[in-house]
Amino acid sequence: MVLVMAVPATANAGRTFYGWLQDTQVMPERGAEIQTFISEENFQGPDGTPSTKDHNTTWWLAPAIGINDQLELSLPVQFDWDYVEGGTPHTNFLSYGAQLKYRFVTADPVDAPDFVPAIRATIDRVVIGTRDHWVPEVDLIGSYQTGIFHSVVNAGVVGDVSPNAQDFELHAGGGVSIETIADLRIGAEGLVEVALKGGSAGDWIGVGPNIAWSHGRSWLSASYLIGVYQIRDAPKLNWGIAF
Amino acid sequence: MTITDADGKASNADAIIYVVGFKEPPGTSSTQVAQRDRKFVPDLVAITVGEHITFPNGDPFLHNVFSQSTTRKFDLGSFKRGDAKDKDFPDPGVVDVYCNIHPEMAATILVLPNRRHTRRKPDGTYAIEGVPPGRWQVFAYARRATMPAVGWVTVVAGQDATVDLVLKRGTEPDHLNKYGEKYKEYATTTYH
Repeated sequence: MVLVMAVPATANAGRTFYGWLQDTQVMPERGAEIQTFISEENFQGPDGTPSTKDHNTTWWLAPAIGINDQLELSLPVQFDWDYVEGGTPHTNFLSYGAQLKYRFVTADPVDAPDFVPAIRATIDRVVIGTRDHWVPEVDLIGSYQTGIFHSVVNAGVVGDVSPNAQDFELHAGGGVSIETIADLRIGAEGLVEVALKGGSAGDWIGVGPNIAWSHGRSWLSASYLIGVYQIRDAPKLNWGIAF
Repeated sequence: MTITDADGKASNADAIIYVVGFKEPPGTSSTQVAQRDRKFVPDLVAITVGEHITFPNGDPFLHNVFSQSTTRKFDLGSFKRGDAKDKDFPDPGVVDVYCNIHPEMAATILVLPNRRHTRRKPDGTYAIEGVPPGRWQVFAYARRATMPAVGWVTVVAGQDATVDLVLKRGTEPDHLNKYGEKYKEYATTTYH
């Protein structure tokens, strides 16, 4: 149980206007960036007993480079702090991996269409517990931009594959982001994570506000999802700096 | 036409003369702005709205061509010798182009509403063919010009018309990199 919960359901990052949601932005060719996020998932548990209240904090860190103007590679490592109420906290170097994000249309600000589709594929090797433990993930991403209004939808599947179990989870979400002043954006987003195979203890639904800001070579985005199902709250902060 | 530099001396700088007041579709010719010896070659070009420019890298190191001009923002990323990138220009205006790696590189693209533009000849004269009859504004622009030179011309079918233009140039203005920051100044190291 603890190990399953220790593997984050989603490990999304990359330049985005959203907290938990992937965006379709990629870096220009040979662009390089350090990207990172810190997220929390504070589970309520299905019956409210302390043993089902899992608190999970993840720190994700990756160098990312633009392979070309539409394909981005990042090489993330993840650290995890997991605490089930009444139990012993665990802090782990959780995984390392590789992530590719491909944007199907040009990233040129003039030539790009309003609707932009993208796909992201990730494979992480979990380095706690058994050696043959992998977390594959595939996401479809769509963004729509018109004027100051930006919206995004995500749908993906993440696996938790080891000799002992093959669990899969669906995650889907959507959000809006509106540019206000001085590259500051505000909006809202929601995320659903549901087990397709395996236990439902990690299922959750959250909605909440988001904020994003960029300046020069730096950008950050954050959201604070409030639990609708099985989770109390799930804040997340993303940050990146280009070189 | 006459060009003078900031010190008042006559200059043989490259200049483009163009006529505005009517629109024409883009031509079929292709335009290149190469990167060679840490310079854009040429560093001043005129195209018609809707035309493309190819940016080939002829240097044995990377360049990152970009523009933050409101007329046409773009970032070509970093690309190596032998590679070329292409960019379209759908709106009229002035586009200042720089390299994010080499601050000394600068070029200007004039995106014009018609094909009636030309370069100044070495003797200071110019000729624009095919201007339709009417009264039009004529502009001249050179890199580092403090402002474009402007005049009026009345074109009558079958007759030549002459406009004499005077252009003053200043110094190369500083510019920022693509992140809106000053370029880093690297110390020069001498090895003995």
